[in-house]
Amino acid sequence: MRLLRLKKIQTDMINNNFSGWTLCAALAVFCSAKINADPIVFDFKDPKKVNNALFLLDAPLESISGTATGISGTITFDPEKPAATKGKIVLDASTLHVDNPVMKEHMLDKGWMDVANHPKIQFVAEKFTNVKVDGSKIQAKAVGKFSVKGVTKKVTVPVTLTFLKGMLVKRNRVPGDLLVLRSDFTIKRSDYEINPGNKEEKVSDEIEIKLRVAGAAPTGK
Amino acid sequence: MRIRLRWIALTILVLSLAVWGFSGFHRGWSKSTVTEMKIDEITGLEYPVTINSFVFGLEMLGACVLITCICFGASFAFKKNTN
Repeated sequence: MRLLRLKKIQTDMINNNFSGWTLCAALAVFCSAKINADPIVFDFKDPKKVNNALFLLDAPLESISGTATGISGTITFDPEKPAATKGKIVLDASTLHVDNPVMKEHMLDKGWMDVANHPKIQFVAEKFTNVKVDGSKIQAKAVGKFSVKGVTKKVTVPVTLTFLKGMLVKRNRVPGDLLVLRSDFTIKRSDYEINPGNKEEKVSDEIEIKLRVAGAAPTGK
Repeated sequence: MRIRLRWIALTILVLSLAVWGFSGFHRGWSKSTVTEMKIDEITGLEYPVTINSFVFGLEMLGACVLITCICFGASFAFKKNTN
């Protein structure tokens, strides 16, 4: 049947038939649109507070662990070209939380994170290298700029992206896709002027960060 | 007074140990919240859920033990009741 239709199109083309040419042009446009599909923009703002960053400081005298849930930002992702992934993840520094209230007060205070003057922590991904695709899972190194307390440094962090096509409907009851991003990396607080050199026996210089976020891209947008 | 102070010291010690035990013998600082990790079914992401709950920490236990010692020590300042 398809062969017959193709033959008819061919015959029409030979006969310079207008409807045949139109169909062919439409097919060409459709194919090129598929090949050059626009990258998908994922929004990481999450009112359910599932998106989070965990931080761990393991000093000789004390181990501190905490969480942060005020995540926002967008990432542009093309399933056909994962290496071209770009975007920004922003963390509201006031959502940094540790279970001890005195410790939390000190952490957010001027001497440490100075949240009042530096309300945002952000990572701007500029390019992805060493991209390895395994089904819906993509492993790569994200090269970008990490900003904490007004200090911006160029960093390369390992990331794992999981593209969940059509899964947004199960989560938000809206048709669309989900992009899950996981990244574990370590920074030094002395690099970002977070009370450098002070109380390292209780608050380690190295801060281990575990980023666990999912972005949504509704198809109706 | 001597006996009363010793009873107070013993009560504080027993109560503080009991509260510490009920808090799960927590060996860190006191907490005003407890963070539990849950898993989002769709994305498989682990996320924190913070619950308002007081956890008795070692510094509180230490303070209670100190008060116990002060009460017990102060009890020696009073004379034995000879009657």
